[in-house]
Parts: sequence; C-alpha cells; structure tokens
Amino acid sequence: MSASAEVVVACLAPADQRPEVDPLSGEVVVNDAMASLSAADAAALEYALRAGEAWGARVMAVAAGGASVVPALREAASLGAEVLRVPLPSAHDSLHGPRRCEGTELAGDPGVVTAVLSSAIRASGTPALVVCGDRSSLSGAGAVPAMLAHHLGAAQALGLVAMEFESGGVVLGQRRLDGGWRERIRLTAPAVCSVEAAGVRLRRASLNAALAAASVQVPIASSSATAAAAAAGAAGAARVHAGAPRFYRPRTKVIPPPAGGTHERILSLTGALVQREPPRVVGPVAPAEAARELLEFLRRAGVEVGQAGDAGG
Amino acid sequence: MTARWQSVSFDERMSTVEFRVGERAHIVVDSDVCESCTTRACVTACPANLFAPTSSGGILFNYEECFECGTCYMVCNEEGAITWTYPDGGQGVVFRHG
Ligand code: SF4
Ligand code: SF4
Repeated sequence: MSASAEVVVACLAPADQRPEVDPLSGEVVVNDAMASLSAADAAALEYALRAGEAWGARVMAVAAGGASVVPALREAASLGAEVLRVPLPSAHDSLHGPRRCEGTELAGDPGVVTAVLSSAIRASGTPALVVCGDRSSLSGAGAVPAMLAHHLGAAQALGLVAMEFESGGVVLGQRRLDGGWRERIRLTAPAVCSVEAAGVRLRRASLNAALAAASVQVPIASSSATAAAAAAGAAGAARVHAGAPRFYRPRTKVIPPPAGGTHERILSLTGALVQREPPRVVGPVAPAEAARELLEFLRRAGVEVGQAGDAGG
Repeated sequence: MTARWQSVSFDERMSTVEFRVGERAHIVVDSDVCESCTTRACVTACPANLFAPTSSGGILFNYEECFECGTCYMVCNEEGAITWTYPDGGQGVVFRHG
C-alpha cells in the first residue's frame, strides 16, 4: 500500500464532559458551549497523528455537529492535523447554551452521524485508517465506529487499548478481554479502529501553534451531500435488527488426560511415598533420651549437629 | 504489617466442621496387618489426620472425623489392612461454616 497518497482520519465527538445531573429528578443539562474532547477522543487523535507520522500520510480530524465542535477541531489543527466539520441535519445538530437532554438524544442517531461522516470522509480522499474514541461521552453506544467500517468497506477493530503502526499500512492493536486476558490484533489498511482512553496522552501544541490555531477557519463539508447521506443513513438505520447480547465464552482448553493409574496419581498428589522415614512412635521417654532421638533424626535428615552425648544436659 | 488472611490451624479448621458420627465405623483398620507395613502411607495421606502409629508398631484409627474421601483406601497397598464400606446415610461430615 502506498499510504503517502492517503489520509488518516481521527473521528472526534466533542461534547460537554461535565453535564449537570439533577440528583433528584435525574434530569441532565448539557451545555454545548463547553464541548471538548473526551479522553478516548484525545487518544484517537494521538494515534491518528502517530499513524500519519509512521506512514507519511495526511492526518485529518473530522467532527460532526454545529459550531460547538469548532474549538476541539482547532485544537487538532494546532497539532498539525487538517480539520473538517460535518454539519448534521438540523434535527440532530447541537444547539448552543445549556439544554435539557434525555436518553439517546444525548448522542444523536448513530445511523445518521455515521452516514454524514462517511460521506464527508470519502469526499476528502481514501482513508487508510480511521481512528475513533470507543464511544461518545454522552450516552454513546459505541455504534458509530462499527457502522463507519461497514460504510467504508474497511476492516474493524474496536475497543483497542494500544496501537502500533508498521510500514505497509499494518496496524498492531491490543484489546482487553474478560478475566484479564488480552487479544492482539493485526490489521491492514483500510481499517477503522476505536480506542479506549488507556495509556496514551494527546501531545501538546507549541504556544505559537496554539495561538495560530485559535483563528483557524474550520472548513465545513458540503451540506447537500451530507443531507442526502443523512437521509440514506436514517432510512438504513430502520433496517438494523439488534439481537440479544451474548456473553464472552473463552475457547475450550484441551488438557491431556492424566498419566498412570488412580493409585499412582493419589500417591503423587499426597506425597505419601516420597523418599522419607515412615512415621513411628518413640515416646513417652525421658527428656535426655528424647533429645538424643531428635538429634539422631536430624543427623539422618542431613542436618549438622554435635555428638549425641552433648545433649545430655 | 497486618496479615490480611491469617492462616487457620488444622484444629481450628476442623472445629468449623460438624460430623454426625454413625454408630457403625465404615472404615475398619486391622492393626495386625499394619505392623508389617513399612510405608505408613495412610498416616501422611489422610487429610483429616486420622491414622496414628502406636508404639507397638500398629495403627490407631479414629473414624469419627472421617471425610469419607477414600484416600486411605487408595494408598494402602496391604491386603486386608483397611476394610472400607459405604457410610450409612445421614451420617458423616456436614460442612457448617464454609
Ligand atoms: S492402613 Fe495400610 S498404609 Fe496404613 S499402616 Fe496400615 S497397612 Fe500401612
Ligand atoms: S476416607 Fe479420607 S478422611 Fe477418612 S480416614 Fe480415609 S483418608 Fe482419612
């Protein structure tokens, strides 16, 4: 693969990281003016930048939403990424200022978000790799990365905790499994990966770059194309059928049958016939004789002790 | 440093277990046969420590705290030393405190 002509995309979902929750009614108040990158999004951006460096590819940060996503995109611009804001249809677009939210409204419709994102990404080049946070911070179900992989016809690896990049567009990922297990994954581009906020920090921009990015004009993806994609995404979402979740079951581990008969196995388990002196009773005897017996025993066991007569006192 | 899990002595562990002692011993040990035994495997192998060698060279066996695990019967190689029958129903070990 010649990754140089291609683009690595970081898909960001900036949102209010500290919404207010009424402890009595459970009502959530989100302020879009406070939208910023979640830790998982920051990890996704860092990995996208590393992939761009490793493959010599362009890095583009994309976020779907209204003006509230612009500060986060400017932060990405200060780190050297190209940026693109993808408008959502007005019903899904975020508003400004504090607003009350409920359930799925917090994260938007993943089908629509995915459709507009994939159409905007395609319009900007062939993505070698798309990195997302594992879920958006506002009640996100983590569905967008998987749907994005489907839309782009790319391999997917979700919920990674570490990523490394090898030449030839090869991604080495690591994923957490139940019970402390880890799974190593090897993918070749094109691929969509989502990452947990684990073990990686987003680099910091230089002061000059941060100041310059504050006034960067963030380009907006063409709204007619995204509206068509959104309509298609909304129609497609209705066809999705979700089944009941299944629990992870580790594969059966084949253990060789035990060797030897039951008698030998019990003997080796209990250690009953391991080289030793069979138990016997020596008492009750006078203290001097008991001490001599003990010293004799220790001598037989290979412990260096004085002559038996020394213990007479 | 305070140890979080203290080791439990054998006697303490046994004191948490209730045994309903049957009138009939389901294990009978023939001490005469044991006199010629050179290994005394049962003494080491019994998890409940029920076999004790005597000064006369035989074996003293106490069936009252038997776990009914069958280990002694499996390790003893001497013909006729241990007679093992199924314990009577409702008797034997009853775990109480985990
Ligand atoms: S019960 Fe069996 S193993 Fe134990 S002393 Fe008697 S003969 Fe030996
Ligand atoms: S059956 Fe088990 S617990 Fe009972 S005497 Fe034999 S080895 Fe000991």
